[in-house]
Amino acid sequence: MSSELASRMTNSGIVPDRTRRSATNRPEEAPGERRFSSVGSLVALRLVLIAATSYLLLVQEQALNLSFGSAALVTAALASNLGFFWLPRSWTSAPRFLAGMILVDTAWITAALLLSGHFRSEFFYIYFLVLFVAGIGDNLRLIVLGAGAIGVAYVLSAVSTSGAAALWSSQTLIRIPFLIAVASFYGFLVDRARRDRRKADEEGRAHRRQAEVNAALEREIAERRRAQTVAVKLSRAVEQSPAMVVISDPRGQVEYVNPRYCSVMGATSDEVLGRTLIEIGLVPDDVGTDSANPLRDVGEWRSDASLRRSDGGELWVSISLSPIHDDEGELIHLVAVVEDMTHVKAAEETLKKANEDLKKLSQMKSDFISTVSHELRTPLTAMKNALDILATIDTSAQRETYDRFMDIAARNVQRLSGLVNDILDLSRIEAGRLEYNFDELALPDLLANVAASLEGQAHTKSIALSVDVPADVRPVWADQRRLEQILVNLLGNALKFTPQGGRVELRALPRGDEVELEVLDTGVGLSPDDCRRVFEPFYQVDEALTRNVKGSGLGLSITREMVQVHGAELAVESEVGRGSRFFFRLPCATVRAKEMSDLEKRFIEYRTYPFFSVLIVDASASMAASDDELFEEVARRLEAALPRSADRVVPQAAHGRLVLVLLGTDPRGAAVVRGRLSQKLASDSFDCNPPLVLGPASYPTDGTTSYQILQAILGTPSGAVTPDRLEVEIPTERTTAAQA
Amino acid sequence: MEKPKILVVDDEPDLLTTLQFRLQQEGYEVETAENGLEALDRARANRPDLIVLDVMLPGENGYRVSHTLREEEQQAGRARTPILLLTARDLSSDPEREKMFMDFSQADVMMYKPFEIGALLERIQGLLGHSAPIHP
Repeated sequence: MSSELASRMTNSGIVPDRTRRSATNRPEEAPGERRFSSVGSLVALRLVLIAATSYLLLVQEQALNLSFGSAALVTAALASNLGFFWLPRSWTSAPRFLAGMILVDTAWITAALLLSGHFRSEFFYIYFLVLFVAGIGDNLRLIVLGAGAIGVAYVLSAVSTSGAAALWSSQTLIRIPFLIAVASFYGFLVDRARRDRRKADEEGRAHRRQAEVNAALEREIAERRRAQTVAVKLSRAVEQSPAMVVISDPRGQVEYVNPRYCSVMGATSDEVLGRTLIEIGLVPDDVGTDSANPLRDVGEWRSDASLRRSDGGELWVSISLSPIHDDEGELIHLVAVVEDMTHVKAAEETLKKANEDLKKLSQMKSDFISTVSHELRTPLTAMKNALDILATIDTSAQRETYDRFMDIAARNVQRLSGLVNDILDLSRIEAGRLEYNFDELALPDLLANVAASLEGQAHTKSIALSVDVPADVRPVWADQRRLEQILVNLLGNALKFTPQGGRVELRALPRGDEVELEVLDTGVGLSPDDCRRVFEPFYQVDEALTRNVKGSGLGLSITREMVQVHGAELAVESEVGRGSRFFFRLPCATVRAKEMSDLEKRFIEYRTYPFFSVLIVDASASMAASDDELFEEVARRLEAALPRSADRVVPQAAHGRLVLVLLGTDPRGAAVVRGRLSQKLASDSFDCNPPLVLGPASYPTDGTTSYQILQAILGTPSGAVTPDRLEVEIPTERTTAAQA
Repeated sequence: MEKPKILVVDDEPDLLTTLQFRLQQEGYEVETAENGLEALDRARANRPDLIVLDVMLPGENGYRVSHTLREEEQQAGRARTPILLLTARDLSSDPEREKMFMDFSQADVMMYKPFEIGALLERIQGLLGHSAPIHP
């Protein structure tokens, strides 16, 4: 028990303070001293008794009567007296010893009296009377006085019977002191014995009381410990609670906030203590009926709220307020438990947004469907009408008419099929099944053709459509059909969004090893928001009430995909009211690239190879200055070539493992790229096994075609590429010569 | 007998050509317009006996053109010119929407693309009040 508790307990009188009590209740000397003095008194008294008895015994009729017996008795008595000093202290205070001593002394004194012929004399009986008095007496002084009185009475009676002369006989006279000595001695002993017994009784009582107190104390301690355990448990529960707990007095002044509150709200305990629940925002100020003390009658109360943290952040919480009453029903505390609902709120928001997105998407899709259906029906109508007409006329007679309508029909068939292709393209892009055919393309002719095909549309709106391409521009490496499609889309858009009398330009600008192709218009332009979103599928720049924009909303997203497959990026610059510029860069064709394309063509045979499909990335035309740059470029080319659906790479599922062949790097560079590429590909989401990355062990010379390399790879026994076959030996003379 | 004048409005040149040809074959005089503004101009200038009006037009769409023409007719107290709307949007499954457009445009008939030319001719006949086609 702590000393504080102890002192509190003793102060309240529960525990008797033993040291204090013994000081006030028993004025005695130290136990050791006491025993010594008692032994001394004992011996002295006994000596007196012995002397008196000896005199009685030995001196009779004024003559010394020394018999052997008497001498022996006296000597023994004296010896025993001396022997006291050698006895252990504990013996001399033991009650049994005293009792024994009393018996022995009584015996020998009686024997002495007998020997001295006092038996049956009155003195003998008086002796026993005195013993009796000593025995029952309480006070030593009274005993002695009593004995003295008896002695005097005896002497007086003797005097009265025998006369005064008899008084002076030594025998009679010595009887008084003898009686006194006996009385003193026995009285002392009895008194001692009584005292000891009393003390023992008291000590027994004190012990019992002490035991009772100890038991009570122990019960109390056990009780307190239990309460403490409960208190610790509860306080830990509050301290470590995931919820914020705020405890206030009945007026709402905060008395305690748990650590969670401090950490979540970014406040220290001191900052909050003393403020009211209303001030810290947990309870609105109109919660109760009493405006002066709004929290007075508040019962259990629950609400959602938003709190502001010390760093300004907002927190969504759910607050429950409970009033706490004491045993008499008086309100003593208000406890507010605050749960952070921010994540729930955030989840709600996410869900709401996802819902909205879904709704928007479904709306976009149904808009798309209705737009597409319109787009499909228009050429169908024209075709149908034209064919109807053709059916009714006489083809031989009305040749011109016939031609005209045949043209119309044919043109609309084209248009329809183009649209259908667009839609299929889009769905194929989504499923990742687009196939490209790269080749060396001469730009001047291509651009001229594209522009010519849209001349009619431009003319209708009196828009000046021009093409600007230097005659000496290098050929680019692209898929012709797709490039035409890209340019037609861009030009078509430009024409669509440019008002009458505007200008649309198609330009090719050499830029080092690339050619930048751009379509400029003086049309309505795009807002920065539109610029960001214009390539999204189904996104259409909003027009008034009914859609006055023809198209599926897919054109630009398809166009962008096609540009990306070329390893380029379609971008837009625009200003509302001024016009727009759509542009991208294509790589110039190189010999190597051409060669690769041959290989790819041959690959068509191998593409259906049962074990894998192969993708070749040629890094030899790279201008990368470091391994990092090289890796980035290779990764970019790879990503452009691999079909993707959203952000997942979807290689042709039928071909199992995809093998990536890296060409045109030196061995060290190849190793670096290979390592990093493997890592990167392992981290992308693939819909099948991540591709093996192979690189030639030595730099392929111009004499070796890529085809030969692949033959080497593919020509392994069993025809399958094993994962551990990462190094490929190029079987050329120059290689072997280099090794030698 | 004077040939009835029909104004055909559609931004699709091919469709315009085919309709014009066919209607002329049937003995109608045909004028064409390729956008809303042109349609309004022609309609005001030449007062056709019937207007075949595509809904999807650059500038003012077909509904607006029809609406405007009706307003002008009412203001001037003129007789109603039959207006036939053409749309590629299939609104037959959305009668509410169709009603909304019809109410707004105050046209007489809405036809859906693609259509049978024969059916179109019949509707035109009906609107013009002829019992039989006119041959040149």
